Amino acid sequence: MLLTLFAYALSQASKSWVAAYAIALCSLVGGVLVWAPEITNWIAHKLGVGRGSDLLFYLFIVMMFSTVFNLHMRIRQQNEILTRVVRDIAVKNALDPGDSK
Amino acid sequence: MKNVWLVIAAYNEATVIGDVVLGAHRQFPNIVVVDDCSSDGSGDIARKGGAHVLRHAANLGQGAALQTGITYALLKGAEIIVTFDADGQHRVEDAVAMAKSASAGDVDVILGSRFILARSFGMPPAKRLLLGVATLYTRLTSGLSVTDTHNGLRCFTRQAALRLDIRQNRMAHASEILTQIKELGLSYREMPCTVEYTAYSRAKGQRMCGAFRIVLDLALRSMHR
Repeated sequence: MLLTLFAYALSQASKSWVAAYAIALCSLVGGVLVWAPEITNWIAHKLGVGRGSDLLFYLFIVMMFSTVFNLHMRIRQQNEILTRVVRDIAVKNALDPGDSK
Repeated sequence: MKNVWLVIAAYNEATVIGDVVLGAHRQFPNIVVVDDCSSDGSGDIARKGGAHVLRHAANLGQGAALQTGITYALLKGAEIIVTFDADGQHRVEDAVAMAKSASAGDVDVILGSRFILARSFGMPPAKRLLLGVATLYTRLTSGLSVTDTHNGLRCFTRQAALRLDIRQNRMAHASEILTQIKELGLSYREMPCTVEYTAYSRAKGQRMCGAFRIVLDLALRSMHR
C-alpha cells in the first residue's frame, strides 16, 4: 500500500509538487515506521505523547481532516465550473418575451 | 434615460412574479428574469408578463442567477443595470429613481437602503437584528460605510457591471458585491428605498442560520482561486 502511495505521489508531481512531495514523504516515513515500529515510541515520548500508536492516531486524524478539507475545496471549485456551464447554456437559450416555447 | 435593464432572479415565485414583471414593465421595457430552475412555472409566467427569460438547468442560487442576468443584459447592450427582487418587496419607483440617478454618470454603483429614511414595513425583529450584525460585519470586512448590506435593489453602470464578477452563488453574494466595490475602487452611494415585508416574503426570507452559511461561504471562498 505504501508503494502504491509512493507511485501515486510521483503521478501528482506535474499537477501539484507540494502534494506530490507531501504524499511521497508520508509514504517514506510510513515505510520506515513499518520497518522499525519502535521508532514511533521514541518520537512519541519526545513529543510528550504516551505511546507510538497514539501518536500515529493523532497524525492520522490531522491527515484525514486535511484530506476532507481539500476535497471540500475541490468540490467548491467544481461548483464554480458547473455554474459557468449552466450560465452559458442559459444565455444561449434565452427566451424573448412572448416566445411560444 | 439610457438603455436600462432590470435583472430579476427568481426561484419558485409563481405567486408574485407575474405582478412584479407587469408592474415593472410599465417603467422598464427591458426586463430579464433568470429562472433558477423553478418547479412552479415561474419562468413561463414571467415571459408572459413581458420579460426575457433565462433558465438555469440546475438551482444555483440568487447570486449566480443575478450574475447570469447581468451577463445577459450586458450582451444586450445595457448601459444601466438594476437588480430587483422577485418577491414584490421592492417598489418600481425606487428602481426608476436609482436608474435616473445612475444615468447622470457621477457614480458607478447605487445601493438601495431601507434604513436611510427608515422605509421598511413589517420587518420581523429577528431580521432587523440579523441585518444589524451583517452591517457591522460588512463594515469591518469590506471597509464600506453602508447602512444596508443585504438589499437586493442595486444599480450598476455598464462599466461597473463589466468589472463585477459574482462568484458567490447563494446569499453571500450580497457581501461579495460590496467587497468587490471596495477592491475595484468603484464609486458608490446609497439611496433610500422602501422594502415592504408581506406574509409571502416573510415566509420565503432568509433564516437566522443562513448568516452562518454566508460567513462560511465567504471564508472558504477566500481560500482558493
